[in-house]
Amino acid sequence: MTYTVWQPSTLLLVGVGGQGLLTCAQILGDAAQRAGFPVRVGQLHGMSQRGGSVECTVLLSAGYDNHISLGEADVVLAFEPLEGLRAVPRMHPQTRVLLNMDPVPPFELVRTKRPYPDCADIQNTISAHCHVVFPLSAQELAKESGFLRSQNLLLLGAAFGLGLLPFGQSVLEEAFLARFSAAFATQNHDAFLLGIRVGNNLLDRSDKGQA
Amino acid sequence: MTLPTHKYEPLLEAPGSAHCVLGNEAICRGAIEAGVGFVSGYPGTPSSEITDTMARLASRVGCLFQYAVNEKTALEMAFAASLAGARSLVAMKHLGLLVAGDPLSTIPYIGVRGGMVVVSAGDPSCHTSPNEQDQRYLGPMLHLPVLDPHSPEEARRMARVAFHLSETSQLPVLLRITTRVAHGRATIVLSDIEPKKPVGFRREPGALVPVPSNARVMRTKIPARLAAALREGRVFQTRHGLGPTGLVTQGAVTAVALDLLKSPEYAAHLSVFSVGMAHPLDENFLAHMLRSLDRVLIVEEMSPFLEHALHSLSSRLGIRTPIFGKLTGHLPVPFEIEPPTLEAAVRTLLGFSPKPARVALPLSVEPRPPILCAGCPHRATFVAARAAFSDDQLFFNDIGCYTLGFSPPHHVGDALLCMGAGFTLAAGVARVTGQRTVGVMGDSTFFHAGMPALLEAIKENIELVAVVLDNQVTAMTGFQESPSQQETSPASIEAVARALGATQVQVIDPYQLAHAAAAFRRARDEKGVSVIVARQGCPVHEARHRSLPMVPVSHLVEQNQCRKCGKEALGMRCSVPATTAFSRNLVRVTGQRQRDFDPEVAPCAALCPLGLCIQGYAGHIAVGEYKEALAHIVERLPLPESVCRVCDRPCESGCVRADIDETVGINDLKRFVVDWAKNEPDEAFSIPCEPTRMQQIAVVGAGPAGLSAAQELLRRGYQPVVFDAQPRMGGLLSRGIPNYRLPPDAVSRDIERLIRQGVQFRPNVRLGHNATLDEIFSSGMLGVILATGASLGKTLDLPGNPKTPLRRTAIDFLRSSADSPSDGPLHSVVVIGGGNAAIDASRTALRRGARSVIVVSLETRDELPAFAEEVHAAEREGVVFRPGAKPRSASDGIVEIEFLADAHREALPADLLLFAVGHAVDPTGLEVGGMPLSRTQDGLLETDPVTLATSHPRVFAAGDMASQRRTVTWAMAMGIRAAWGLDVALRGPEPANARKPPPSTVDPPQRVPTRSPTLDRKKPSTLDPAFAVKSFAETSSALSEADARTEASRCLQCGLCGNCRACIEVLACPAFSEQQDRAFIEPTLCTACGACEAVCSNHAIGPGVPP
Repeated sequence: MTYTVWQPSTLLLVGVGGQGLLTCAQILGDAAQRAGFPVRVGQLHGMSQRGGSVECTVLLSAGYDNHISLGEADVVLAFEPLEGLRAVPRMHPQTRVLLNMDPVPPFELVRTKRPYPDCADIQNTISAHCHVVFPLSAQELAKESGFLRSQNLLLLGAAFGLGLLPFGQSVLEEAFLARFSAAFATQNHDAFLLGIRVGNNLLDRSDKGQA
Repeated sequence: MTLPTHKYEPLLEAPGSAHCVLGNEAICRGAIEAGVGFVSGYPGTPSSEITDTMARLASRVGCLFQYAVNEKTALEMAFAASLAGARSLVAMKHLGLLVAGDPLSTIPYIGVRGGMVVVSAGDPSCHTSPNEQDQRYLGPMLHLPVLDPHSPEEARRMARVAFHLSETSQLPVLLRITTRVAHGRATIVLSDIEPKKPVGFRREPGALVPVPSNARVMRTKIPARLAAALREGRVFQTRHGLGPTGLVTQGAVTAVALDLLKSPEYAAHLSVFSVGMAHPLDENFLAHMLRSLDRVLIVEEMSPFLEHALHSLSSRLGIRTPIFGKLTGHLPVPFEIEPPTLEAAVRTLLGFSPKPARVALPLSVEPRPPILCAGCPHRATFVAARAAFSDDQLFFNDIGCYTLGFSPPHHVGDALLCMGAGFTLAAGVARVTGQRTVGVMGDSTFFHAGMPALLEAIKENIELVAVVLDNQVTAMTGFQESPSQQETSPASIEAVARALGATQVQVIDPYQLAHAAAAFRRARDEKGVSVIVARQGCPVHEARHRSLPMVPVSHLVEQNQCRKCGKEALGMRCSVPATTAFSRNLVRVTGQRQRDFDPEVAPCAALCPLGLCIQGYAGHIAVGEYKEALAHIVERLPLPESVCRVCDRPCESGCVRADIDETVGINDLKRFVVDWAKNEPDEAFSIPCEPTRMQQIAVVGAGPAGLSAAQELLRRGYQPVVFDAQPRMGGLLSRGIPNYRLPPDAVSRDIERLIRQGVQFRPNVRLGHNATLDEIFSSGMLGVILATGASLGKTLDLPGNPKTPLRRTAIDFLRSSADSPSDGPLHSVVVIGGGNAAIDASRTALRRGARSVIVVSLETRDELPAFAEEVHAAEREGVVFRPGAKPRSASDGIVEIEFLADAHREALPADLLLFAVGHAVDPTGLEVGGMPLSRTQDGLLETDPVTLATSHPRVFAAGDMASQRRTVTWAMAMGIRAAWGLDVALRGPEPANARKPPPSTVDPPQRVPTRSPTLDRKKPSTLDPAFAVKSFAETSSALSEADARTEASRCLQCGLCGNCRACIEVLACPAFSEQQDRAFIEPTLCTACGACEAVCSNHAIGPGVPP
């Protein structure tokens, strides 16, 4: 695993309530702390379990504020395609995007018989506004491996495998082991490792991964 | 990977260690370091993590903890702890602080003993609240020191210092945090933990009881207390940077200012002064600051609190440093301040050109608001309530997960205010308007503030249905305990309601939708306050609580049963989509039907010769959707305005309501819609047709059978040409059925629509006289549909003078009455026959002036084949009946009849004798190529029972000439079938079967008595008989709109519905989606609550099978 020269300092996590974003943000904050990075994490929530849009910001630089303003996200971890699309205004030409391609249609679309936008179109639109998009399907991977409840850790692992996280594997592992009980730790760890492998594969196959 | 040896608890790690934690968690750490002895609070975003964290850790740090019933009791408990010598902390959101306003306002007078910290979390930009509040004003208003941190580390220090500050000043300290800091994470460094203070209540006579005389004394002590607070709190004033333009900041936005300072572009120009204590303000420090700077920009969120203070200070001290901020328009007043906004203000101030604004991308992304979780019992309660109440019922909602019920499709929430107001808003509106209203709130909210509100309504005997949604937990804020949790608390909502005086209290399980709806119906119909407790645990909480997997086995949609139209096998599925309102009505009545009555086809639809979807149009009328109702009717009924006046209504004989009260007035409903639509543009009546091919088909006979065949041919892409012996189209509709039953303008409108749809008409063409079938074929017609009816009236050979009484057939009499209704005076008329023609002739005779009209029939009164309503109408108008008799002779103005039962005879006066004893087919011209078409024994044209082909392969027949079943609707059904039969002959089965004809026989299902309550049938008015006989004006009318909707609501929607989307549109459970036009339940989302079973009127949903 090689570290890239490019060092992200702003990570934006976007997704749907219930997908485990807040857990990931907490783990990233904790990992950064253990790795000695200055870190600030922002999370606006309160109704997150109810299936609404959720976003978390992780800023790896000295400072106090935890906003990521328009055009300031170096990395976007999009747990859902539509939420990834919603985050486009926060991206800049160097942004790296990890895009989970499993759609979670807002129920209002289903109720009013309107289609979910084409995922390929979403990916293309996002690509046009950033440096590169790394797509994967967490659900497919989770089904193969049995990690249906650990898709967030799988995505975190993929982000690491893609070189999007500037700290080492051990602090990440310490951080989430500190959070989970023994029962969940092993499964989550396996999901995380699978994610790393997937991330590595995506990076190897891409010509835009390196800075 | 090695598992850690002990569970990582950042807030209890060693002093000196650094951890990344939430601002709220940092406050807990600060309190722990200060040796806090008592913590309480009420959950409220963004403060909830404070109480949740202390709930988890209190016992490990020697602290007492309890969740309070509301913020007032929480604050009072915390003050009591303080009086007893403990350091206490209480946490709530900004709204909650005002709930605790009463005690909060008096505590500074009495003064605290153990340090007391009140944490109130504000929500600028209303991320999760109905308002934002600048709580700093409570400082000067109530004499509270106010601290406002901008980072988790500062929050920790402030929380710790606040206890000291509180004890030194004897004032409770308001630690006011906002969302971005409360829910932000950053590094804090843990400090050492102070030992706890000893506890004990020390008597202080006079000092703890603020009766007015004491209160005035206490008031005079406050300035000294505030001065003491100032001395302790000034440690939170800090300066950063050395530039001549000062950013004076307070609260969360300080972080934004500090980060801006780091930018090389601004660093040399700016200083940042963070004023951590908002009250009391250190005027010396501020004055010194102002004097040392060229200008200041006040950076604060929500209101110009600090800005006003600095203006006041400058004015009093004669300081002239320019002050910029909200009052000068440099920064907006409401909401949070984002980094680009601050930067723009700074650039303006510094005289820099504005940064180019980021171009807004033209992306519109579907919003994703929060919704109730799959399996939420509140959803089931809302569906049950909506099923019981009409659409204009007012609902008043409250604060909790159930607030989300206000969004579509439930729309439960005409207004919302605050905790507990669900009942008081409902009660106030009920009181003033006299309407019966519904108020809803959750269990935690009920104990928080709902009890007094309920008492308010009960003591005034208000028309209120008070609903408590008891999911046994305080869910929205993070699943904190609720006083209704049966295992841990003795409180019972229903017992409280009864103790407050409620006499109508029902406890329901919302997942049992039918029972729940019945309970709501009872509550709807009661007087005064009715209480409903909908009790069912929150599935998310239950799963976490018991560490169970979320879903044992999810429910399943039986794909073959979903969207199943009962008539689909007959090709009769309709194309009119089921609207949400229609689906809601489906769900509403489904709950009232007996479960074991489960037919695929509704009995009425099974009996309708034309295959109309009666539940379709009745359901749409019930919810006021008349266009959709018309679309259902027009899909199957070519001559709507005529048929709804003359239909024989076999549907009504099958209606299940006949066993409950009375059949639904199905034809009345049809008539209502058609009447409503009579001036609608042609689009409303349009029918989808295949593209026209240059293929002409002749239809001989422009009566109901022929006209229906013509329209059906249009649908199938042919060019129908209708021939008739008469100058106008209509057959019996125009000449035969009297105008008082079927006004000519109704028939004209139906016919003119057909002409505009493309039917061509050749009048005055009579088979066998001026035209032959051979000529028709050789003129280019590819086929012929014969529908000339049975036009020859039969007579009886009676002995006597054939000239008087004048003998005619009833049908001739009716036709000439239509042509020219006044030929010769009539005095006495005798009609022989018991069918509709006889009754039509008798009522027509009255209208033409006859003084005596007598109908003689072989059938007894009960056996008369004519429509019962027609017979009754005839009687009311004065027609006399002689049933069970036959005519013997007719001569010299007398018709002698003999009764079959006892052979006695009667002489009836008659100057006109009409025979209505049957009609025969006129055989003239019914031959092709010299070969007559085959006839049956009773003179009808012989036809294939399925295709209605005659003995000639291109000649088909329909209507009275080919059937003894002689009703308008049956004739029309045959016309449609004949057109189909001809289409099969010409194009083959494949294209023809794209649209099947109405079935020739469908067995109606056996009726099972249902348990629905009785409802009176609404009937349209009819013309007074004494008035009616004076003219041919139409005697029947249509229902009013209100009556039509009420009558349509009586329809129990018996059959399956192929267009139903009730699970998605009415229940709106997010576990549902559509896959290949069928409903699908996502197994990972379904909690197997079962509410969907009751919502599916096609009975397609049931529990899944365990693996």
